[in-house]
Amino acid sequence: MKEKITTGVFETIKNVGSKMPLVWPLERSVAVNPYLGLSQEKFERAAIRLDRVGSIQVTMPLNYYLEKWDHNEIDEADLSEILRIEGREISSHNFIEMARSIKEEPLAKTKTLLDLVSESNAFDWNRFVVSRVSHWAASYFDKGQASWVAANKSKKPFEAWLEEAEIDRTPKIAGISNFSNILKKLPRNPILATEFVLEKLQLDSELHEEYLHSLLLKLPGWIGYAAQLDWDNNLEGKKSSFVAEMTAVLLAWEFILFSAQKKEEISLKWEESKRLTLRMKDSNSVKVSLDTRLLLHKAFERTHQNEVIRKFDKKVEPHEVAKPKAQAIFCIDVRSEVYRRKLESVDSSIETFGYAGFFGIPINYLPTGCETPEAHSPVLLAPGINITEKSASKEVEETRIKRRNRFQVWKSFKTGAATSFGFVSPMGLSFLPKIISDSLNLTRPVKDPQKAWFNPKSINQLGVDLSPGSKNGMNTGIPIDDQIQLAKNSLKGISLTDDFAPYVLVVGHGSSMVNNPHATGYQCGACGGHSGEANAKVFAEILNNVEVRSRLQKEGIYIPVETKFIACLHNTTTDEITFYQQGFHDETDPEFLEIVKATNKASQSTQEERMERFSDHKVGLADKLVKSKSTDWSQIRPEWGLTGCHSFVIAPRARTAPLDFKGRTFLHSYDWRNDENFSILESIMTAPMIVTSWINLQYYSSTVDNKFHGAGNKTLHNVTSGLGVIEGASGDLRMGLPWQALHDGEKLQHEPIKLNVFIEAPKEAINEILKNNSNVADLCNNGWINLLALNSEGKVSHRYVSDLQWEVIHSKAA
Amino acid sequence: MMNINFYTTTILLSTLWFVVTSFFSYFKPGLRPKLIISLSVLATGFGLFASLVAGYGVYTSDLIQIFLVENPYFEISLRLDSLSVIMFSMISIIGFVVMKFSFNYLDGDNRQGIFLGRLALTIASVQFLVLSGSLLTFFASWVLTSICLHRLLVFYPERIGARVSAKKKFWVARLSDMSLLVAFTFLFLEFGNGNLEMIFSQIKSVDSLVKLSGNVSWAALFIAFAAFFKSAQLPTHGWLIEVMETPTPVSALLHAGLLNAGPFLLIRMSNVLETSSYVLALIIAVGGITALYGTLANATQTSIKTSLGYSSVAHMGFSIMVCGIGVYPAAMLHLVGHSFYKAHSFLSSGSAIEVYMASRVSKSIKQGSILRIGLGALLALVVFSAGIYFMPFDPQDLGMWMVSAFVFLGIASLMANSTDVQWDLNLVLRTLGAGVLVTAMFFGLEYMSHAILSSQVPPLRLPTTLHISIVVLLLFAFSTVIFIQQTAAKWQDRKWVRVWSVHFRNGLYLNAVFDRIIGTFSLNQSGLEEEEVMYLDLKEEKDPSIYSVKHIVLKQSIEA
Repeated sequence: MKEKITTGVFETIKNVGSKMPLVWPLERSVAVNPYLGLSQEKFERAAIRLDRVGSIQVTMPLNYYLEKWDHNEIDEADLSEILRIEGREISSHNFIEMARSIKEEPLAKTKTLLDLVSESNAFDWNRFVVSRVSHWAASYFDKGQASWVAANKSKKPFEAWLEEAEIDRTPKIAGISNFSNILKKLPRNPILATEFVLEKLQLDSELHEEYLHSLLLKLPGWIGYAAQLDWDNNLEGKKSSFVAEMTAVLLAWEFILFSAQKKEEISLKWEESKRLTLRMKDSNSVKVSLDTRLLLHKAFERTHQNEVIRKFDKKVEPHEVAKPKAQAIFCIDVRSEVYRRKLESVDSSIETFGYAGFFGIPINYLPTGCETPEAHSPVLLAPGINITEKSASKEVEETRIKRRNRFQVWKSFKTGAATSFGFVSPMGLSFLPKIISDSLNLTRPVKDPQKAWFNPKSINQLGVDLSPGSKNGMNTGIPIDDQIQLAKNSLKGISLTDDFAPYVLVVGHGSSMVNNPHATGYQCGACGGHSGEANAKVFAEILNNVEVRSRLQKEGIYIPVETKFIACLHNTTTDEITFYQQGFHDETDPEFLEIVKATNKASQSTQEERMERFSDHKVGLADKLVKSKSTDWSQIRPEWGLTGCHSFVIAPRARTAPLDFKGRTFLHSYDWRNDENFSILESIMTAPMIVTSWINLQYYSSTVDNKFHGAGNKTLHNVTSGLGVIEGASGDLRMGLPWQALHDGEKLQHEPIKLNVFIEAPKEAINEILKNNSNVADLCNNGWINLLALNSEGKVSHRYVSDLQWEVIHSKAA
Repeated sequence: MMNINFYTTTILLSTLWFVVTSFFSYFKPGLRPKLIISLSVLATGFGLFASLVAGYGVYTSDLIQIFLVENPYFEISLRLDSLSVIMFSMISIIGFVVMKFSFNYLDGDNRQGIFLGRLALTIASVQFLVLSGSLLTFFASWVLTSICLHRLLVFYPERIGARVSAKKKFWVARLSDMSLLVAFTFLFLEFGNGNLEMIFSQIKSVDSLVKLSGNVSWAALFIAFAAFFKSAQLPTHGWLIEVMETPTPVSALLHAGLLNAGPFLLIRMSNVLETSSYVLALIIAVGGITALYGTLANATQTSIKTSLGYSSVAHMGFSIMVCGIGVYPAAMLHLVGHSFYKAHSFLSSGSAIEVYMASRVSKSIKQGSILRIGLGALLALVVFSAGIYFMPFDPQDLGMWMVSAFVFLGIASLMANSTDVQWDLNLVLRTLGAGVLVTAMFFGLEYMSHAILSSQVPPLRLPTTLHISIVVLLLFAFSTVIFIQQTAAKWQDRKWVRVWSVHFRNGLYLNAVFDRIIGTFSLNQSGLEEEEVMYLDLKEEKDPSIYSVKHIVLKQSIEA
């Protein structure tokens, strides 16, 4: 057993691990592209692979497309063109006829021993093993739901699992009588164990990837969480091997089941299965049903894309605000689109901009009274800046901690083992008024974590502390030179470098809802699943700094003295705007009051438009409806969030201002004429464009295969380990979005459309950037993003094909 | 006093509303059933009104019996008394909350109508159960509640987990039905009458228990079994911790409403139970051990609903144990308090992530100092003694003292939580205030509960030596658990602590055995048959053109 660790296996595991979806914990959940590790392949190839190794679907069922065809949502011309491009000599009508005759095919996939042994003993080992491993993983990764921790967290996962497996009697009771003997044969090092099992299974190295991928897909949730831990560690430059450890656990189970069977019988089946796996892997063929769906999907996307393209054909009146009374910077988020449109229409002298909602300032944020900071930045970055929340006085923090301690004393009494009886008898009845007031939306079921234990008065005075210092052993604050650099980069990125209005609103966004485990998924993704409040405050504070302004002037950015940057928060659940930094500016200034009035009006009209998407919408009652949705503990659709997102426009606001994208389009302000070496475009294409594609593909994947890539039925959710949900009583951690967040009961609110990215910039410049950034190029070349270019008149002129080739779009003005 | 017909009409209408709601759900089974929602609002509203009326009725006259069928053999009747009206009101409130919750929570489900209908029928069945005035009524509604519940548990029949847990529940419920049937048969044979009031008064009128035949003791034993099975007592609790395979409101209704049937049965039949001290000893032991087991297993759980499941197992055990000790009003208080507490916990279980997020604010760490814990316990003793001094309980009510001792352990732990962290006088004083409040609430509510229920349950009696021994053992076990928990820092890394934590997290494998017995993981092989799949050949991957096929030749299955 003292074999040398070969790099081969390690590389394979790394390679397979990278194909697994990442799962972020729900305290800071962000949308992720679950196909991330597959983006080097063509979309269709990935579809074939996922179907083969895990029966995972990346298109809707055939019927969905046939219905779209019947309702003319797939254009005949588009289907014909797709068929032509793909070399099928068949007319679109014949193709549809053929499609109608296809039965949805049964699942044939790469099998692991779990599958084989399940079939031969008519015992669902798949479910059993997933439930056992999840049960242990939930304890090992628990963030504090259990007060008596079972798993040994001081050890690495594989060893901790071995330790627990030696104690756990369940497998024996389930029928593996020699469980502990088999366990003893396993090496205690995960890599050695992996090699050991692969050798015992006599698996040729050419099958490793296929087999391991299939095996890991048995437990995508917990593997995904492990992969996320590796991701975070790697960002910080730390070594991390959670996925490899978890792989060893699953392989150990394969070995256990293999060993527990009659040798001859299972060996025979296993050999046969391996042969089949090899043949399937090398066959280079596609199931007819999948092929048909892929073609129809392509046509469906094309038809939809043409609709969006036609929007740009609308006559655009040159709209120039001579002297704006305010400028408002919003997140690129699709929810900003509605609000910006409304705000501009309420008051045409307010200009709006779209930029990543962290305003280019990636921070680690330390709220009052907390010990460890949280990253408020896109998950692609590891922020190097630590910012602490600033309160009016030292006592605010002390009070918070004191109150929290009092609460803890009570909570231990309430929930402790054997002490809870002493709580329920005398105090249980106090939940009678509580349950009634919670039912009537008068109270919150639990404290709002952001406001908990604060003196309510002091909450409004909270700010951010930029002055360099240190806390809990971290350097905090931002040195002035860095502030200037950050300010310059962000302003350029926003395309806001001159003609500053007297008021510049820095509008972060956040959501407000209760009793929803997926609440942080509605927060700002660019702020790492937090509200954009802190980042907006930091950005505004930097730009209000006199020294920063004077030195920016040397860099050619002149901000008038009277210009004030005001941090705001757009509540996307209620569409209300909160203004921070009270006392900093004159709140009785009539100009300011006018802006406030405009935002109030815009809020109202945004509410009206947004509520139309809900079945319980009644004209004129939108404000009441949003209020109740944001405070109702039984509400499963507090808002639609990013549901329905399908496009991303990178262009000056003038191009999109007159267009109604119905809250489904990301908007980034960008003017290539001011971008000398296209470095701004490069930063947009390598960051926000990737992030929007992540979001889009998260919704996409949850829609097309909710069982695998989605979170299932929300009414069954069972919060686990303080980091995720399981569906029902047991099973794997669930990733992605709940079905209720995508479907309203009558129809899909998110149609599965891969992101259309519209860029107004010369094609050569875009090509240059693609050449230099292979990860972006992969997404575009392989059909994960549909890239389109706008011409100098703001009309969509070219569609990206692949490998830096573009095709002309002939405007089909209706 | 109001006319008896008024009460009859009100109560029957209340139940009828729910039945009507359920009936119409047959016609509006689907998406956004406006009619069913309106009917549910009316039904729950009327239920609340009916509880007020019933409460007034019992306030003015202790007992109101409503006879629907007056045949002594097949008597169907309801009774309004302090016990049944408290339960009825509680069900009405929980019913209202759970129904209202389901309007939005299941919005968009294309079987919401059916869901609300099943919910309504279940509420109606529980209403009938708690008001039952005769053996037949009681038994029929006892069976009906579990059948209604079963329909809710398999609301998503395609879920294997739902079917498995419902199957477990189904068998345990049938055992419970059988036990109750046997018990009631014995009672009927003994008293020749199905009317509860007749039975109770006959038992009460017997001056010495010797004069009752063995039938009554057998009845008591089987009543105890019926309650154990109904309320997830060891070792048949397995179903309860798995039934979250159905929407959250069902869990809330189950844990706050239906699960109470066990302790309720014991309180209702307290006069019968009191005839056998051995049965009472059994009840104390099973309840106490289940409470201890549930509370330990609960501490190890990592999923919110599973953890709440074990917590309910524990609290049902506690209530049942208190019944065994003979302090029925205390059991009732615990039952009612637990219902609201648990309904709230389930409905707010989606907030568990927020609870975790809030917990990031720094807190003092427990020091595990024996001295400080001792100080806390001492403070609690002072407070509790004061409570005892001011509260008018007879020193001879040993049963009451025993129950108080369990509550005292909790308050001692509360005080120790404040003394055993970084010293903060303000914190200790405030906790002391909380301790005083809890103590006052406890004795105050106990006093009220005794006063209200005095006509329905036997007076406190002296426990036998056997009872006392069991309770003392349990108290010792409870205090050990609390002590270990309080000083966890010292123990948590010991091997044996980890080993037992794994055992408890797996519920001491009782459920694994249950799984084996009912074949939880057995697989229906017919689903695994493979059919032939048609494939198309693809061009080489290196081919520059996008994904496209080489031949449009349909090939047979790849296995060819």
